[in-house]
This record gives sequence, structure tokens and C-alpha cells, in this order.
Amino acid sequence: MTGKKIFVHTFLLIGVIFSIFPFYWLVVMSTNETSAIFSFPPRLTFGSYFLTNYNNVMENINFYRALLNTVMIAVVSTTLQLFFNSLTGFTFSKFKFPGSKALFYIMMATMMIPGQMLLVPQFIIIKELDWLGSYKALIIPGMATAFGIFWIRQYALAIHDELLEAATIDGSSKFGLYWRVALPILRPALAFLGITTFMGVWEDYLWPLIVLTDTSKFTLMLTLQQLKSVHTGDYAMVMTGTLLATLPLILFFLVVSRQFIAGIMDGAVKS
Amino acid sequence: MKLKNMSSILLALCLALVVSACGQNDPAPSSNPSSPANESGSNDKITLKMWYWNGAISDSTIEAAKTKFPNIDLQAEKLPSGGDFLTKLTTTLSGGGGGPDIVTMDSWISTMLTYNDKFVNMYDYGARDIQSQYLDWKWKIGATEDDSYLIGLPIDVAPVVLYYRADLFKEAGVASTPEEIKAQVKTIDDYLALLKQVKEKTGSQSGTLVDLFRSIMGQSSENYFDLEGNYIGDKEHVKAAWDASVKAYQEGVTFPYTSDSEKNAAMNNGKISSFTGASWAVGDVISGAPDTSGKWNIAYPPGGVGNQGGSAMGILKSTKYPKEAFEVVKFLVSPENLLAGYKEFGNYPSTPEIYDKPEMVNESEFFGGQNLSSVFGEAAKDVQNAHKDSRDELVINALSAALGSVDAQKKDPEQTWIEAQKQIKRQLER
Repeated sequence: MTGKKIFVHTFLLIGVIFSIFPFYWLVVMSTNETSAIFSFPPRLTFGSYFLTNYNNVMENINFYRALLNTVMIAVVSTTLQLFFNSLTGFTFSKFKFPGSKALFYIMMATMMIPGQMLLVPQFIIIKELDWLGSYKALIIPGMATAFGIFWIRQYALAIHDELLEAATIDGSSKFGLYWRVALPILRPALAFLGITTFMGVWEDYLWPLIVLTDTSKFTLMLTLQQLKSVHTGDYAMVMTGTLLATLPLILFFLVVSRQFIAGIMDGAVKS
Repeated sequence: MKLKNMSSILLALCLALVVSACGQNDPAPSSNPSSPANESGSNDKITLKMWYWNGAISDSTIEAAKTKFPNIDLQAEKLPSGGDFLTKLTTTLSGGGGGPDIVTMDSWISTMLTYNDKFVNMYDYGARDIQSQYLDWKWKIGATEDDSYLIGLPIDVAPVVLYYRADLFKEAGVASTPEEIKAQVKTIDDYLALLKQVKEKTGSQSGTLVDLFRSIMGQSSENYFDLEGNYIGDKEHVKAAWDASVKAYQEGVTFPYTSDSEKNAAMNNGKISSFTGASWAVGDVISGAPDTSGKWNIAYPPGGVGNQGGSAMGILKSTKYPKEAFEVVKFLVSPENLLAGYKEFGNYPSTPEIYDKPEMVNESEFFGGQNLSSVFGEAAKDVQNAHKDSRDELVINALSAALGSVDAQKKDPEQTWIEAQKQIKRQLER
């Protein structure tokens, strides 16, 4: 038994080291000079240049403005997606209406189209709507996604019809069924969707690059790219910027994931 | 219960935010449709939007332009560089709107000539008057084949020169001063003979065989397609470059690094004693090989001069003020302002008249106090300009991958050449 435990733990430890190392090195690089990054063998200990690098980042880009922009977009997008995806997913799973099956499959088919192909058509739509350069172009096209709806629908299939019938008899409206009965049950599914959506919006690069025109509205990922120049670069500064841009995401994940794990337990006990 | 209340409040807040964000931003994209380009009265400022990237043009130059043109509100947007910039530009062009007035273009400007109807013809606004200030080969990159349409004014050039370790070359007993190298190492064969001796005496090598191949092709007056668009990548000039690279590899004078950090490490510990690199590689060597400071030199390259990079600046047709935009561009790329760019980022100017100015002198401690500018200036005037095609990249990538496999997977070079050509032709037929 103990032998097996040691084996499992060594295995896990190796996995942890492998996945933590890139992040560790990011921190190391952000505390060193650029020349130290390229020295051989590479330096693996912390340096004392973090403040210098930090000041360089702040001098070159408007970091906090970009952070605020990104947090705003990520929170709004995630909330809207959770709402619309869960509403639609729940409807597809529990209500039969003419053409519901066909509609669902058509929606699923949109997942087959590669995103790059949609770039120009979507750009033209946004341009015709005169939304270029505004956050609407980022938020509204992503308000509901085929994957999100599919994900919620699969989860919602497990909700017992008796539960919904009982609520209806008690006088609940259709929306009430969703809001009061389904949503609490769907919490674990929403947790996963929330985390991936938030991360996706945080890291999204191509679409914001194309539709945003005003540098002051840029998201973090776009702003970070401004740190890079074409040929030579202060990599220590770029790494510091990257670290600063990643920290809020990690923080969000740590705080939220605990909530959501609690949510999963809730569901388990109730059902 | 509490959580549910919270979530409904959050949802309402988000919807409100979106709606309010919509209202706020509406006027931005359609900035001033009500004030057409009437004779710009001295009071009303016109707005010119410009796209550039970090390191394309000096921020101090942009500030100078704002002072020089008080009637123009120059909104310079610093965008991500490289392929991202190109993606944004091509999407905007094919989407048909929302672009800037002034746009910076990298060496991919030649691919933009296909869309020259989207750009203002700068010859219509007096570009001919300043043409003589710029390197002729660089100027032509932004012009159509018949030289009737110009889509961009030159900013900088990036002549490829030979970077080498003067101390190791001396130790090996080969030509080791820039003058000696220029006089004695004239052809690629001379260079290979030199590399062989350096390898025997010091154990140090040159860049990869793919680097060498690209560098030789850069010196060629023909690329992979002729003027009619026929594929010539299987012809003698390409095969000769291929064979020379293979020969260098077989003689053991190439160093097979696979990443920049590996290359830096090899430079830093003296395993790489020479490579051909563009003028912007100066910064790479300095930051990549700090322990070798003072030991490097640069020299006029053996085999001829290629060019790797360098940008230009053009005006989109969608602008309302082409005349004013042209004046701004003309100012931004004027010889004095290009000098500022050289001082700031090492972008070598495309205006030969300033090469001999005392301000251009760039004596680097890292290069043993050598004046780098004079070598770049001499090389810049001799750059070979080959006809470029939008499919060049496909061919270069395929040939590079094949050549790399000769080293990495020890493939037979002749067989690999034949397979690579087959693969390229198949891809071109699509």
C-alpha cells in the first residue's frame, strides 16, 4: 500500500513540476535582466530587477487601463453567456416545440465551421452595423455559443421531469422553472462554462485585434503585444507584462474554483 | 437565495453596461461625416489616423509631426507588430472599411501591390520630386512593375552583412579585418573555404545550413517566380544555393541550432564564430551573447548583399485627405527623421545622402569600437533586388524544411531536393 502511494506521489510530483516550471521561469525572467535570460546556462534563480522591469512596462503601456478594459469585457461577456447559454440549453433539453430538433442540429453544425473562415464575414457585419472600434463588437457576437448551449443541454437532460411538473403545479411560470429550479441544479455545469468563458475572453487575441481601432480601448493581450518591437526586444519587460496580465486570471481561478467545487458538492447531496 | 439575488443584479448590471457602452461609442467609428474635405480652413482641424508598430517609426518623430502640422490631428495607433498587423490590415481591406488614413507596411509591401487600388498612388501627390533621395532598389519595392503606381514611401532597409568573431578568425589565420574580408572573401566558395579553416583551427562553426541557403538566395537577382509568375524555384540558381549549403553542412561548418536560445547559447560560448545577418541583428547579438563583448566585427558579405526587412509607409484610398496625408508621410520618412529612427532602434535609413553624416557614426563597444554604419551603408547601396511573388513564402518554407531534414534526419540531399520540388509543384497547382 505504501509502495503504491510513493509511486503515485512521485508520479504526481513530476507532473506538478512539469506544469509549474514554465510559470516559475516566467517569474524568474521577470525579476532578471534580458541578458540574464539568454545567458548559458540559463539563470534559474530570482533576480532583483522586478521593479525596474515593472517601471519599464508602465512606461511603455497603459497597463491598468487595459486591465480595466479586459475585466469589464470578461465579466460582462461571461455573465451574458452564462445566462443565454443556460436559458437556451435548458429549453432545448426540456421543452419540445415544432422544429426544436432541427434547430438544435443546425446550431450544432455551426461548430463545424472553423473560426478563421468567419473572420471576414463577421468583420463585414460589424462594419455594416457601425460597431467597429466599440466593445459591442466583442461582446454581442459571443453572447451565446453553440458549445455552451450544447454543454448545458447535456447537463440539463438529467433534471427530472417530475421536478419541473411539481413546480408547474405549484404555479411556477416557464421562466420560473428555469430561474428557480434548473439554475441551481446547473451550477456545476455553469461553473465550468464560466471559467472557460472567462479565460477565453481574457486570452482572446485575433478578434479584438481586428475590431478594436482605438489603442486606449485595447485589451490586455493586445496591449502586451505593443511591448514587443519587431527585431530586438527587452524580453524581461515583456515577461513582466505577461506575468502581471496572468496574475488576475490565476487569482480569479483560485477564488472562483473553490466556490464552484462547493457547488458541485451541494448538487451531489441534494439529488 | 442570496446568491440568486446577487446573480440577477449582476445580470441586470451587465445588460445595462452593454446598452450604455453602445450609446457611448456610437459616434466614434463614423467620426466626422458632416465635415467633408472642403478647403481646409485654418480653424478646423482635420483628423488623420495612422497605424504603425513599436519600432517602425520613432515616437519622437511622430511628436515632431504633430508640432509641424498644427492643423492636423494625427492619431497614431501603435498596433501589435508582425503577422498580427498584416492580419488586421488585410481583414480591414477585404472587409472594405474601418481602416486608417496612413498605414505602415513591412517587407510584405510587395504583396500589397496586388491590392494597389486600395492605396493612394503617391506619384499623384509629388512622390517623384523626392525619389532621388532614396535607394533605388528600395523605392521600387513599393511600386508596380511598370513604375506608374507607388503605394509606399521607404522608411528603412536591412542589408545583410557578415557578423564574425574577429578574435577567432585571427586565431585561425584567415582574413580577420573587415577590409581583408571584403578584399579576399568575395564569393560563397571563398567563404566556405574560410569556414573550413576556422572550423579546423578553432572548432567553431557558422549558422545552420538553412540560414546559409536563405542568405545565398537573398543575394540572388532572381527569386522563385519570374515576372510572368512562372515557377523558377527548380532552376539552376536555386539548385546552386542548395548545393552550396549542403556542401557547407557536409564539411561540418554549420551549427545545427533549432531555436533562438540555442543559437544565443552557441554564440555566447564561442561555438558560432560567424553568420550572415541583417542590420537589425546587431541588437540580437548584443543581448544574446553578452560574454563575447568586444570580440565581434561586421564585414561586407561574401557573395553579394541581400536584404531582410525594412518598412514603408502608404496612404489608403479611403482617406478623405490624401494630400495632407502625403505631406505627413513625406515628413515622417524624411532623411533627418529616419536618422532619429536609426539612433533609437537601429533601423538603417533608406536615404544614402545621410550615410556619411557624422551623426550616423555608430561605434559599438560590443564590436570592438567598429563603426557599424559604414559597413551597412556600403552594403545597402549594393542590395540585389529580386522579383517578389506572394507565393515566395510557400516555396521558401518548403525548401527550408527539406534542407533542414538533410541535417536533422540525415536524408539524402539529392533525393530530398527532388521530393521537395514535387511537393512544391503539387501545392502550387492547387
